[in-house]
Amino acid sequence: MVTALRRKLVSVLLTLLFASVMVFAITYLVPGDPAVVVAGEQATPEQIALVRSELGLDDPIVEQYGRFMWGVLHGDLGTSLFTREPVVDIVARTLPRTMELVVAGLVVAIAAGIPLGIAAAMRARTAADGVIRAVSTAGLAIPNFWFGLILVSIFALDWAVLPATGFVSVFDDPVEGLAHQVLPALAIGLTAMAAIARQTRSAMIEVLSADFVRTQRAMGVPARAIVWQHALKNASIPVVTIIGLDISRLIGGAVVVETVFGISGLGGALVSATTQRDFPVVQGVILVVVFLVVIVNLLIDVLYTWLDPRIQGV
Amino acid sequence: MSELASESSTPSETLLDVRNLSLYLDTPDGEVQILDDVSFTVERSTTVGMIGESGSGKSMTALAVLGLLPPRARVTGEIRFRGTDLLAMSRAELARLRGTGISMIFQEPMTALDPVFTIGQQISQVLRSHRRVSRREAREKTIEMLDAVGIPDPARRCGEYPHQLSGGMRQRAMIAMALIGEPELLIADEPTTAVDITIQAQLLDLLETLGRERGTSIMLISHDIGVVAELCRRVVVLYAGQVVEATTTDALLERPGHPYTSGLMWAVPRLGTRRQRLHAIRGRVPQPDQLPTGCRFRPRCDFAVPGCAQPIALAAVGGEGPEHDVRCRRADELDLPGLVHDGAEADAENAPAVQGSGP
Ligand SMILES: Nc1ncnc2c1ncn2[C@@H]1O[C@H](COP(=O)(O)OP(=O)(O)OP(=O)(O)O)[C@@H](O)[C@H]1O
Ligand code: SF4
Ligand SMILES: [Mg+2]
Repeated sequence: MVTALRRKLVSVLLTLLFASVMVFAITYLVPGDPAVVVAGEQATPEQIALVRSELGLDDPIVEQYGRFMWGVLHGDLGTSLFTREPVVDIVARTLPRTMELVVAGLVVAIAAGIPLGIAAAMRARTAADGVIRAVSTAGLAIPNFWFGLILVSIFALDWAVLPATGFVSVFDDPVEGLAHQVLPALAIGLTAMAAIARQTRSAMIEVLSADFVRTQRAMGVPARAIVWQHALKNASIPVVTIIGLDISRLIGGAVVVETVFGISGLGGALVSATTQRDFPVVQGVILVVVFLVVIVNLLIDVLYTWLDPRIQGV
Repeated sequence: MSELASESSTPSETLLDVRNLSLYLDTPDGEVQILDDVSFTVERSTTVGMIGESGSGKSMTALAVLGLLPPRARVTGEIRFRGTDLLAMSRAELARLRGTGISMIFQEPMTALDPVFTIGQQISQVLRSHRRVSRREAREKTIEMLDAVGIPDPARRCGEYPHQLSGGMRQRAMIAMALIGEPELLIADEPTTAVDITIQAQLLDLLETLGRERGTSIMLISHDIGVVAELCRRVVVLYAGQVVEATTTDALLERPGHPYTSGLMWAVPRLGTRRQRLHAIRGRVPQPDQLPTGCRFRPRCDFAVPGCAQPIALAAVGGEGPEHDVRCRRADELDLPGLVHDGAEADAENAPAVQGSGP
């Protein structure tokens, strides 16, 4: 148990280390020169060279990485090349919104995906199952932003029942918050919902044909208990795997869908920073996202050990 | 119905009465008949064995009794339990009967228990499905039951998961689960096939003891006549979906009436011996959709005569002595070798040659 935990932590640290190297390397992998970005297009080579040395870009690469990591470990992600605003502040301003949207999308995906999957499994190979499967196949194929646009045009523009743009946190104003987040959450959660419904369906079908289900039926355990306790807990193991993968996709989806709904979250910050070649902001945002994904995966692993006693510790 | 004429039981002591049970299953190639006119009874507080090679329909017979057949199965005949026809029962009534009237245990101890719930949770759940008891009371009864099936340190074992138990212990836990609702009939489908010989003997002892102490009737399914002989008073022999012989274990061992039964006796290693497959029956069990006409054992039988191609009913043989039904045209004239003569077990080395000793 302890060694398993230690092994897990080592692998998490290695992942973060690898990610930090990749993020650091963005400056060199992505076309564009930060010094040119700062000095401006009309700058003379001398001015550019001056900026370059001010930014420390002439130092040995290992030293630059060391400085970068030193900052990261001290909560300093650098400052925007344009606004001179600390990247940490940008993240602190935009991340909560994005996370709220991601969670809202996840709630939609789980709350709809799991019951749909169970319903399909219980009626496997009937018309209802066919409809649910068709919907989830479509859900996987439809791009989030396109679905978002459709939702906006129907609910916000044609029927005008929900706001088309903007963001209100449910913690500030629950009613307005829900009204603003319903459509983005649906748009963000659609793909994950479809994936979860599919996985739940196939896992439930498999589990319901397991030997232990026959044992329980032979001993008179009611079908209700077999489906909702035994089959669901067994099926939740592969479903949790899918949810874990989906959270990474949800973050990606949120970044895209934010722009559709005019919400200035992490996605907006990332998009504008990328087009402006604002390297520190791009690096900071990506690093934070990677960190979140790693944390989510760690939590998923903990959840596994709780769901499946055959797994030895984290 | 004439083949049942020799059933000597009175209705009051008959617990399970299966009459003319036929089963048809839906397959990709259409409907196939799996069981044909199967009849047998299980008396109260007794033990009945059901033997036959793989594919003869033993499990399907048991699942039909519990109403747990695959979807789209079609059943004809009667399955009477305590006088009530189970085939006429509603789903809810059947679910209530399972676990309290009839319970069943299965072969695969690895997969037959839920891997993500503790054995205590699984056993308590069966109890709580049938009786209004508090969680605490259920736990106490569960521990008692685990103790009764010979699981050491039951209070601790209660909180363990199936993978933490050995195969034999898992099988004991499944027996506890099957018996906690105090059923009158326990169907055990090859409960010892997956465990080694020592554990097998222990489990058979346990079933015997529990059955006797609790007055539970046991229907033991096995392909191993030795296992059945160990535990059961009566034996039903199934071949290709038909009952080919039914009588007391003693009568069967002494004087098998059907060439298939006799072949089975010499084909399987006996409990406690290391002698393997002395005389395997040649050929294989026919598929349900490729049955020969007349006697279904005919292609594999050394005693077959042209008349065997005509349909044959299960009929009583022998004069005095226990009831003895056989489905063989030549049952009365053949003198087939049994395993036991005057109470002494025959020596396997001097086994009478079953094969090639035809007329
Ligand atoms: N779901 C099914 N659909 C169609 N045929 C089936 C199905 N399950 C079993 N059968 C067939 O029914 C027949 C009887 O099977 P059954 O499982 O009762 O045999 P068995 O005597 O229990 O054998 P074993 O010793 O292998 O357990 C076999 O021919 C088998 O192929
Ligand atoms: S009826 Fe004929 S073929 Fe069938 S078992 Fe008897 S002797 Fe053999
Ligand atoms: Mg079987």
